[in-house]
Amino acid sequence: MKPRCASWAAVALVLASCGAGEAPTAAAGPSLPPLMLSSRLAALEELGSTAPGVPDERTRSELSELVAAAYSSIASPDMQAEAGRWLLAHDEVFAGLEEGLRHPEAAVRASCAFQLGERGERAAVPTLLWRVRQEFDPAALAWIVAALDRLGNRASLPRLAELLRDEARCESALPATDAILLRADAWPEERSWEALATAVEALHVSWRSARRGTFEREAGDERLHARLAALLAGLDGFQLKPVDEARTAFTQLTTLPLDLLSLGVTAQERYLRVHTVEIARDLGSLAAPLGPELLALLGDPVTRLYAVEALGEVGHAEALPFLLVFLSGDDLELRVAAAMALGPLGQESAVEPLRAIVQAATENPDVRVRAAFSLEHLTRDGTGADLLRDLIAREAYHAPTLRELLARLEPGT
Amino acid sequence: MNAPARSALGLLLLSAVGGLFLTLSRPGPSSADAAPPRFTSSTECRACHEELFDEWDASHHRLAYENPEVRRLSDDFRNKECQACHLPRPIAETGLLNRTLPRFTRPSEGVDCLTCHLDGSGRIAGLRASDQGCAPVANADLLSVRGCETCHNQHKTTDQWRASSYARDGITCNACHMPQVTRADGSLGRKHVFEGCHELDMLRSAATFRARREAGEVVVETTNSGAGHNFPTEERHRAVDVLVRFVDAAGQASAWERVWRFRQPYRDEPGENTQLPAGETHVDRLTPPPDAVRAELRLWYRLNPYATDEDEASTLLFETEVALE
Repeated sequence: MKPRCASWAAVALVLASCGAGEAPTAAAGPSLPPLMLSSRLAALEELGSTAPGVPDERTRSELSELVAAAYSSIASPDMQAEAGRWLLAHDEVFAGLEEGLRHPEAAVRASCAFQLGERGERAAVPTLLWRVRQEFDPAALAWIVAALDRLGNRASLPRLAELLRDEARCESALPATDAILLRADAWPEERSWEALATAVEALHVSWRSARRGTFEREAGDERLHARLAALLAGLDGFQLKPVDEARTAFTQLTTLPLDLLSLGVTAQERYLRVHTVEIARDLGSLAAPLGPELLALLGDPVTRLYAVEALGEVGHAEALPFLLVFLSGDDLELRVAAAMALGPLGQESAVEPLRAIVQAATENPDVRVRAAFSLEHLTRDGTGADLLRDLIAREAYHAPTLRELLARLEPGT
Repeated sequence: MNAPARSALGLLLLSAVGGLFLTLSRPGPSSADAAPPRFTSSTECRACHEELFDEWDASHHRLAYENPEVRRLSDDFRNKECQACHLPRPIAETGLLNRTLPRFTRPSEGVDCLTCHLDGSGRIAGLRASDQGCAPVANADLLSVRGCETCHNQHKTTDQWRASSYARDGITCNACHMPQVTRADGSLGRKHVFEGCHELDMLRSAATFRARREAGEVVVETTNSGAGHNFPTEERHRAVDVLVRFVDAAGQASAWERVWRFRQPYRDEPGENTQLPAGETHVDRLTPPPDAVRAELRLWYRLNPYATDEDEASTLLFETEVALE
């Protein structure tokens, strides 16, 4: 089928769906679930109100002094011991330790991370995940990764494996690695940096396969849940920093709070909705339970584009007929999104429409390269990948985009 | 709406789309009562606006998604949120003062013509209405600070402008970054190069840098004398450094030493915001070594804070010296 020659019903669906509000229904074929958006910001803010807060300035100053005295290398052992006792007995110890993760001295950051892990402060997981991205000292980084591991989060173990393979920095990472591997009873028989790195990576792979989504709150995680709700509420603002922070945290959690994400994707607040959809996209199959809500967003002019991508990544098979309609429609952005989503969606019946686009040299290049990606994703017959490589060789399309698509098809290249 | 009714609507709308396609397939002036052409790429603007197109094509707006510096700092846009402003959908879709959302198409076009000129109804917006060519509708918002704000207040640049005397005097972003020009056909227009921190003349026009000897000290004054926002503006990437070295009677020079850095720390980085607000002066007082006969001073602009003096990301703005004998 020539991609632009869609059936009447399909065109009617596409055009009808372009109207605001009412959910589109094909003349013949499936209909979209109704679009039910509600204001969610107040509810998320209410949930987030019990999240660990920032103490007043006087208390912060007091905590800062205690943290420095307890963990700085320039403090005497006696002072360290005394200050450490005071700090750990303080009502706001959590805030003190979290703030300590930003201390100028790496040893202080490492000690604060260690204490957060030992104390089982799971509400600190988002902060620790952010610090992994920003930490440059190898020992402090390793102890932050170890603290996350202690809290049941092994998302950052690949960063530790990187350190262990770096001759110049591996020694600094050894004590924290030791703690992680002993706790998991996973010390390798072979004593080499490469063996340690491999063992750490194996723990990460095992953790990834055990991750799960839940609509139920876990006992004892109220503070973490509240913090995550506050993070989602932050998506609705103008600044992108909270978007970055929420994405970093939500995509690396061990147990996904799908109840919160469900609030986000059905939010009337535009940015809250869009960015939660993007988080769902990044989570892939872990966010599969959100499929029906994402499908309803195809009736939403603002979010539709991002919902198309997310539906592919979460693998919501019911989206197939709608994505095929978008693929052959007039809206270029939607065509690109649909072409990109059909591969990860994993439905065989998308192969021929995608192949027709890949073979049409006059096709819009944005659509064609995504169709090539998805065709290769589905068939692994080399056709799509060859086109992407050919476009790179001929400098005929945006090279970083092509390389990114190829990297997704061939991880490790 | 029931299914047959939707089919009928589909047919009607398809006819309308077909008509539009025929209109688009006949380039040239359109009459006022015909459907306005629909645009999907900046390259479609070139036929009638070649001079403007070429300006934009060489600009950092066009490069927004391709610039190697940006790609490096955004981890090749794995920090997906950066895409919202570096590969944006039209501003009108989300509205002035609201942040743009990312698009998926035309990565080589970055911040393109359609970002600013496609209005909420799918028509082209211009300063003047016309029934010729792309049949633009007049939209004064094109020159408003609120248009720039959708992206440029991400790092508080327009907030800085609002707090300055420039805002009180009505000197907007366009006065410096899109100055008025006379086109080849004699018409007045706005330059679409969007000159800023990548152009030496523009950078030099933002600041003055002076040094003098005073009571045994070297006094260095850096003034934000020409920017309507902080100097430097934006966070994470930009930094301006004051450097000094002393030379003794034998001509031996000490190593260059940074005495001050103007910069806003990025997100959770520790430190204070030391950017220099519009119109303000920062003073450094240096005590020279006893054997120094001359102080040499430089003001460097860095596209990123990690750049060394030898790096392409560093631009020497001013150098001066003070005799100490």
